[in-house]
Amino acid sequence: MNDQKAKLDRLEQALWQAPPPAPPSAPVPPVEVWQANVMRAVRLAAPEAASLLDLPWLALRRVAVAVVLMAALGWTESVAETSSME
Amino acid sequence: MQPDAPELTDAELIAQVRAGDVNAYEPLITRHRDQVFAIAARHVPGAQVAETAQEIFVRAFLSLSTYRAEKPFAHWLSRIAMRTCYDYWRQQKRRPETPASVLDEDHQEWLERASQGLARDAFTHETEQREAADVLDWALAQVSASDRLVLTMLHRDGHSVAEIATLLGWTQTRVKVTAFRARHKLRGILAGQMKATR
Repeated sequence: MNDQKAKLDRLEQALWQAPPPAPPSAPVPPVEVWQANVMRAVRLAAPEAASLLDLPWLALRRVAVAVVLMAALGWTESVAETSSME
Repeated sequence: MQPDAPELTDAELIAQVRAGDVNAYEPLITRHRDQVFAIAARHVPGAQVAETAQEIFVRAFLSLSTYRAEKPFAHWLSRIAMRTCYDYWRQQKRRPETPASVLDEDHQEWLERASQGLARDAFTHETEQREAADVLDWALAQVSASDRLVLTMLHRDGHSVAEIATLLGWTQTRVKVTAFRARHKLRGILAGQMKATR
């Protein structure tokens, strides 16, 4: 049992201490090409990002409308209650 | 390509992007691409690094509305990078066609040598490094994406629990629990393989 644990400890240690191998020789695009591709993707995503930037304002507007509606509803209910009591 | 604008800070460039100037994002990419490539190279396969780095920058662009200038942009970007690497492995796990790697005789021999404490001295040889990396990949392929990420950040990258918690947006307790369980799973996988080779 202890022998098994010791073996596992050594194996685990060796696995994490192994230096990472050299990166594979997969074709990596030149950095200029890569960056141009990123900017192309970013420009395509720009309208989506713009709508996301508007989100806090949209959310705020919705909350404001909801508060006004609820207040109006509450006021109507209280008026209705008062008139029914009368 | 637009030249880098060193006179502008990250925060100023981000303000320009938010105001609708998409081109102001390019100096940010130039400034931070080495950092993003370094993170991607540590956490996804070599052939996927460039594509993952691209996805990180697009995601960051789409999330700029959530960036708060109190913390450095590089730090915020690192979190998005880690999350993107995590999502890469989650997607890999969902693909049933992803072939499971298999250990051959050389790997089995490496396992045996490593368990006897004989492997580390030989790490100067490229084949030995490759075998160790293959065995680690094979074992990590059998744990979840979150287990993989926490184990590699903790044991290979040397991050502290606090750093991992910040980078992943988790609590330190969650990092500790995940690390403990993931290590237990990994040891179980290795133990099973060692038994199978006897």
